Amino acid sequence: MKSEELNTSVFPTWCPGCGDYGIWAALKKALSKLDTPIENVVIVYGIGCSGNMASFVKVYGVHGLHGRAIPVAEGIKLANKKLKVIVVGGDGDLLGEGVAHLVAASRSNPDITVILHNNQIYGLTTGQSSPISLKGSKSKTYPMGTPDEPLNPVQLALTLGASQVMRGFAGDIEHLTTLISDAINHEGFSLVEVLQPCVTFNKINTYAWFRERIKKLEQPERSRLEALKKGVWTNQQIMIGEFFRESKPVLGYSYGVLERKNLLELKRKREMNKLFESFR
Amino acid sequence: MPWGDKTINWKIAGAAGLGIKSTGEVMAKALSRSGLYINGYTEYPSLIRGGHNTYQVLASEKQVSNPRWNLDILVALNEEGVVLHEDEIDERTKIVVDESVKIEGNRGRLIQVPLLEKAKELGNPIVQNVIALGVSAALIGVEISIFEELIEEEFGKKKELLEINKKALRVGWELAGEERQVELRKRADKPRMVMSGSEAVAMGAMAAGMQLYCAYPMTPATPVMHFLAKYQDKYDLVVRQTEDEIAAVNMAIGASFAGVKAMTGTSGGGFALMQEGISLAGMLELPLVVMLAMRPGPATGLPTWSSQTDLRFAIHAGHGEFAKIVLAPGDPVEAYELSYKAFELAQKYQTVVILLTDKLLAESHYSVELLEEKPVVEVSNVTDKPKKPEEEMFHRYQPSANGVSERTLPGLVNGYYVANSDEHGPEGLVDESAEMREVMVRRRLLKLKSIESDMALPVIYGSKETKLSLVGFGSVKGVALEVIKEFNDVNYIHFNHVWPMPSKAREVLEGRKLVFLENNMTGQLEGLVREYLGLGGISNIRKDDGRPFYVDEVVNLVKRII
Ligand SMILES: Cc1ncc(C[n+]2csc(CCOP(=O)(O)OP(=O)(O)O)c2C)c(N)n1
Ligand code: SF4
Repeated sequence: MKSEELNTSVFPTWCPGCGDYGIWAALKKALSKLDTPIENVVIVYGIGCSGNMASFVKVYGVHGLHGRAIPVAEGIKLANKKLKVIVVGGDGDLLGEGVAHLVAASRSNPDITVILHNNQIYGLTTGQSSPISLKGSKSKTYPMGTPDEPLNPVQLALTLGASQVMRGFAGDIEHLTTLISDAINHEGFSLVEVLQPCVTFNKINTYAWFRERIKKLEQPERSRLEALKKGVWTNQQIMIGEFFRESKPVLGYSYGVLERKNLLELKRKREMNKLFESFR
Repeated sequence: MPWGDKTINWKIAGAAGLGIKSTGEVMAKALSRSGLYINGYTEYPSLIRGGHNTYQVLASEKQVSNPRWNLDILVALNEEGVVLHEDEIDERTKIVVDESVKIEGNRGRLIQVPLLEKAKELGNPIVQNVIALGVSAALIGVEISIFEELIEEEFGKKKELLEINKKALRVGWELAGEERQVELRKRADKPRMVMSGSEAVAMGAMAAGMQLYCAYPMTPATPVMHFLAKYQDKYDLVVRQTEDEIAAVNMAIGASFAGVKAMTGTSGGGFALMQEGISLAGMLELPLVVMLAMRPGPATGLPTWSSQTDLRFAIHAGHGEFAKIVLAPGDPVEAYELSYKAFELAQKYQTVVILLTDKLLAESHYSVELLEEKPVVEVSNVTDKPKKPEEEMFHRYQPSANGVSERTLPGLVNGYYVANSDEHGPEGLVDESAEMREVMVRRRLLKLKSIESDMALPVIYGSKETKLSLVGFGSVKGVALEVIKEFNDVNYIHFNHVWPMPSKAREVLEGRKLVFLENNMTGQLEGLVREYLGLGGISNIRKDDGRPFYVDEVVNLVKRII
């Protein structure tokens, strides 16, 4: 399938030049070369400029709530393990409103892929600070500078035991495509943080700013600790690529039922009478 | 108490950790096996009282459905066990208490026995509760083999424990001495089930074929999760304890989108957190069953006590206007039936069904005739006919005569659509036009009309023609049925399908003198009846102190109103 065939009739409403176009293109490319049939792909979107992608990709989709895409995705995957489930959300979405779910999923390892659009700002609500905004950076809500230390999603996920952690750049579609398709194919929880310029509200972290600082990792690190070190942001250098990968049991395998069968296909009548008898 | 008296009201009380609840449950089952109807009620608060627990069993030859106040037998495992229940004791009450406990100037008949000493002799102080069971068995006059059998079922192959407990039972029986009943109640010929509301809800969901239950623990909703977790492997379902209630409701919605029958359950605070998700299910039009087990609020309130204060909350759950359904069972049989029906309605109308219970129903035990198995509820309104050639994507939100449209499940070739929380067109793609909004909002609300025809009318218990009718919903059914036994001319009208309120319910209530009986202070049902049926009551009886209504209390109030 060609990636254009995944377009809907709704043309993206993003600002011209927005990094979301690059992520959109990379995601469609990754999907178009996937082995899995496209009808077995579900994308769950959060709310934000990033989440608006829901109306631009012709696959099964759920455009859920701000911050709540991950549990929806987990529910879909528990229900039908044949599906490939992908989450698309912003930094406000996944690290502000929904950070508990990102933390929980990193720990429990559901077989889903989370694509985190990191523009260091709230786009859709017109430019407030996000949990990734650099300390001191000015925004509509903090005209004198954001007071909080920024989160680092790569490091956060690594310390929580996420089984695959990556960072890509919306301005390098080819590289990002590889990361996303690797993430979708990885069995377990994958986080792909994507550096995404917001051309309207973030005048500092521009394409050029990123290009000066980005360096590619050759291969994943051997240990989480090494990966953590590589994940750091400095004003001189930001690494992109795959930081770490580990193969471990996927959420659901601890359930006897799910190991044996697909939840969706369980339609067997329940023999209740024996159970009733035990209540005497 | 010779059995001519017909009822026995037994209570065991003591510090947390002494096995009060499990001992009480054994008593409830034993009395049931001896052919009596039972009602088992537990209180396990309260930090102020230092973790004082009780379990109370009311047993009778006729159906009993609510705890009574005055005790026939009180087994107190410590001094507090007597002091805190002084009000429930009269001169007929037999009080079984350890001989070491000093009790002064109370009205009951003390039976002091060496519970603790004998337990220690047997090698385990904890078995004092079983010794107390033995004493109780003798006082009530129930065949001891019934208790032995229950203990065997409980301890099974753990030989040593089994032996100690059996001995403890015998020791207790002996200790009763002259107080022992001569007239023995033997085994019943017809078995009944002893069941809590929570177990009934869980089994209704299992019978419906629920595949996923996701929840975050909160009293008094948690027993449902415990029960399902215990049986999940055997009955092919999955229980997931999520990071919070927000995750629980969203996860259930995700599973439902993929075609699985999913449910979540919580109490007030957790339900508050779920509001946005409930609204999401309304917008995505996906089947979702939510159990809301009420307890007194606001905020954390009285965590382990009961109330009916969230009826309005349930009805108004979620922001925006959309069709939702609220069912409020009054006893375990209704809990089983309505838990099952919740799945049917959720599938039929692709929306949220809230099952409203409370602590009293959830954690009390009742006598139930053997339940009936049911066929698994089908995942309905699902098509395998994908989009038409001229369509861009599948028209999942296609307007229809009753507001319900067919959906596809992921995996179907060319069945793609977006379940979109933004306002959307038929394929789920975003559409903010005034025209589309109008079409969609009307479509979603259209369902209410058809749902109404599935809402059963309130049922009248007792005689049809009366001076006065009590009206209630949910678990007040229990006390109401007891109260009307005391009058010739009072009946009870029971709502268990509370939302949307069926307009025909007016015909049931019209022309009667209504007295609303509710475990809340603002008369939430009364208000709904006034608002939607245009009928008022002549009076009301309200209570929200965390305790259930007691029969005598309501009887006295009704007498005053008559
Ligand atoms: C519960 C809730 N709170 C707030 C909002 C408003 N809101 C919509 S998008 C958004 C932030 C979006 O920022 P981000 O997630 O970083 O995505 P971006 O728009 O930058 O892609 C907020 C606060 C909402 N929709 N729901
Ligand atoms: S506001 Fe920023 S993130 Fe949103 S579309 Fe415009 S450029 Fe992109």
